[in-house]
Amino acid sequence: MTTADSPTRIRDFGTVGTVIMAVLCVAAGGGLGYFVYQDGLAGLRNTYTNPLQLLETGSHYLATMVIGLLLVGLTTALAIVNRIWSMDRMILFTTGMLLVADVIPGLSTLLGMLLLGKLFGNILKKGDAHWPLSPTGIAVLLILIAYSTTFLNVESPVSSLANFLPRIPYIVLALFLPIAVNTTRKLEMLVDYFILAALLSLGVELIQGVASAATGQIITFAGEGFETFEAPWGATARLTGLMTHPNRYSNVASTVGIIVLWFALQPKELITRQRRIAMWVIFVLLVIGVLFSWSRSGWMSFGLAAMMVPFFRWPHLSPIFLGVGGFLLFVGLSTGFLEMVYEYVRNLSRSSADFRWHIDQIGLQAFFEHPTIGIGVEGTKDYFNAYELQVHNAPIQVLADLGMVGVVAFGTLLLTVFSTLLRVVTSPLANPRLRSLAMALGISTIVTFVQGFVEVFLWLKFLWTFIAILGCIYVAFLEDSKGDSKEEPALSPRI
Amino acid sequence: MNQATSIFGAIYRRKHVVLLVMAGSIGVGLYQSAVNPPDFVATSEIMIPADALRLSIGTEEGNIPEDPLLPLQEEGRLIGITSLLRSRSVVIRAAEMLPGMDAQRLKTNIRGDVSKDGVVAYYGYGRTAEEATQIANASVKAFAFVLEEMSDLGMRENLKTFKANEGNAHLRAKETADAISAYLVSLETADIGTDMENWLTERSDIQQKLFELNSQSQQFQAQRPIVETTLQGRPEFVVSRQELSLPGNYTNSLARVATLSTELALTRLKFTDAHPEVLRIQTELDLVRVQAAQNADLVLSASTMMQDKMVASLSQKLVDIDIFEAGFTSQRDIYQARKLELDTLLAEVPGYRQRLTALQMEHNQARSMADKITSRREELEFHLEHGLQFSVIDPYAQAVAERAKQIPTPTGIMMFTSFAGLLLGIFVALLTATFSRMRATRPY
Repeated sequence: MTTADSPTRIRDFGTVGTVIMAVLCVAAGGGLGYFVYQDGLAGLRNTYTNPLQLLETGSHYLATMVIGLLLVGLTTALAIVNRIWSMDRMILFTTGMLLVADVIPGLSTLLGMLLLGKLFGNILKKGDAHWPLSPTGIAVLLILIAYSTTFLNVESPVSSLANFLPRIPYIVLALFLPIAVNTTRKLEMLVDYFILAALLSLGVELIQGVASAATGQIITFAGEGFETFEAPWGATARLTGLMTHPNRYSNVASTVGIIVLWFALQPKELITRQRRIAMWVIFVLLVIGVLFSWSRSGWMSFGLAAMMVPFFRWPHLSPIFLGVGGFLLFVGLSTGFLEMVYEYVRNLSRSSADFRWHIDQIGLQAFFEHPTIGIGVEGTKDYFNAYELQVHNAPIQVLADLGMVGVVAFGTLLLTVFSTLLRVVTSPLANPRLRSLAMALGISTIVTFVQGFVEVFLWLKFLWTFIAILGCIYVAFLEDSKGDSKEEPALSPRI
Repeated sequence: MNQATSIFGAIYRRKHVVLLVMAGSIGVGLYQSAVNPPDFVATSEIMIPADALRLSIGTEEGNIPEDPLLPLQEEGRLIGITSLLRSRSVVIRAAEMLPGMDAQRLKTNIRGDVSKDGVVAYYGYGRTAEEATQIANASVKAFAFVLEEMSDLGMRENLKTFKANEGNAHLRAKETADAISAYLVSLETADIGTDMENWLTERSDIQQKLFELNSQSQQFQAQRPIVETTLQGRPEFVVSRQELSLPGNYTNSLARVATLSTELALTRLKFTDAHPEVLRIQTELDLVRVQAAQNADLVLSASTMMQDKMVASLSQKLVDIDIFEAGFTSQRDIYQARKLELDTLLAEVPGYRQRLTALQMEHNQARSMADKITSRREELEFHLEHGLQFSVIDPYAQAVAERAKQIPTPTGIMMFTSFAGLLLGIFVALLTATFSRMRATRPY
């Protein structure tokens, strides 16, 4: 046993512990060396989505330098903020940024280091660390197993590993995030940081819009091919905020929009007047932000999810909503207005809408011919595919890439996420604030769920970080149920 | 289980489970590899030039200015190639090249892809490297054959269409040319442009003549009263010649003057000027001179009368004025009538020209189309006669057994079994630990 006065040392774990730690250190060193070697060899030439490409194409050792600078910055920041800020807040803020800022490299690695730092720091200081096991985290293990079937499908498994490794840090967040996010208060704090990060991204979007309009050049983080939108009045910039694709930005902004809409409609005992006003203002800003991403899938998913909010907020009024909604639907259909709107939106970029159906067929073909383990992650790009694009439909992507193994893994994950959410929402023991958070985050998943049918979202940082957060809800519920969580007032004044 | 050490401990305590699951996973993987011989995959490539297949309206659109002659194909070229990769035609032909290979089985052993630069890759899967190689190469050959057939067929269909349209196109060109001729005939001109220039020149001349005519008329009107007045004030005839002679006493006086002058000169040689002889002679001389002067007037001896030239000229002028005024009105009317006629013709010129331009354009278009169809027909006939290759099969890009790869690769099997085994082991360890904990807290 160790105490806080006598910090744990490696040798305290005995011979086996010492050997394990030594092996881990050697592996970490070897891994670092391999990374630097690859970075020097290939640089950023093959990572075309990396925003650092904007700075200098094909730079060798640039990623190493960036990560090195991040480490130096992190160390300095930790040294500075340790007196004014906690490690938890660093983790929560980084998580919030990880959700909305694909263009900032190394965030998931940074978050992993912070989480492991907190974990091992506590273990070494106190002899143990509070690390609740999230059921979602367990399900994620199955996802990783399903993913690894790709090694059986490819001619060069090492290349697939090179794609897989950068994804692991954010896929396994479901296991590790509960180290820092395990109470209602921390969840609230995390959601607040998430909203703050979305506002930062919105600010970047505003700058992009103004700069693009002023210079006549497209100034966004989007790559060539989806940076502009052919509107009736001419080519228009598709604003991306801190994301690399306007559709992904719209997804993130819509998700946050649904969360703040839910908060804005909360009963008055759960929210102050000032915070409610703030939520409404943020909601309106996010609606505008989503609009200017010119993402039709984003508009659709945001609209559908927003329409669902009243059903969850006032379920006893559902018949009225259904009646009014049905009447409006009838009027829209009978007058041809809805069809006209649909045709108009569809024709804004018809080819972009149509090619998805072709790729979906390719994905289904791949699944039916390789039903067990599919054809490997991203295998559809080379499978009778003239577009050289991935399947733009998450369920079909799972079927095609991972086959039935993937279906089982993702099915388990979905069941775990929604059963745990349902448990929290329906439990009379649940803290009302936690229940409200669960409702907000749960309803906001509709956005990704809907948009996932027409976009490539399967291996994005946002999705897996969000799944990790959903897992944390159940962890917080269990912690609350034990009655030993040290609750603090809500965090509304902090943003 | 919510403490780090619990989690680590649970895994550590079940390290044998973890290791067993991992070892089992690796063992099963190796066993399966040994029991079930792996498949092999070989890659064979064929290159299709970017424009080879563009025999549809996509190419002809630029050449032929009028309505589409060929069926419109909106599907992308690459998508068309993709759908061809594992078509029944390709698979059956590939199976024919592989003795003992069933077409249905072959279809499941082929995978294909096309890149945006037109490289088609066939992945052949087989039980042996040789079989995979043969499948890949046979697929490429079958694909090239079908592609050639399709492209050739497409060209022949195009040729048929061109031939069917060529006659009509030339007939149309002739009709438009005839329409131009007929129109020119109806205008009674061969060249409306030259005619118009002539009309403009003539009109300008008439305009000038009218101006001169009017000027002349006004000039004569002003002259007439002056001429008439002048004529009235002048006799019709005037003396045109008179003969005059000197009188006889004047001649005598002149002779006396000469005699006296001589006598005076001689006398002065003898005497001074004051001599009475000199004075007498001088006086006499002066007297005679006075007499001569008094008798100096000429005497009209004969005169001739003739008509006054001015009168004659003025009379002629008056006659001219009368003649001019007699013809002025009719001459002016003729000029104005012609001018009006020319104006009418010139006013119609833009319409003529517009119509002619339209006819000419129509003709040019029809002629151009007919010529291009003929040109394309000749071009296609030439190509079909000499033959075309629509794809490139590079021997270096063909599959060879030495380059065939085992699928799954030994590395892939090891990576999968060890990684998945480890994760599964941890999964089982955590699951059993959770169940143990649940049994401990809720034994029922």
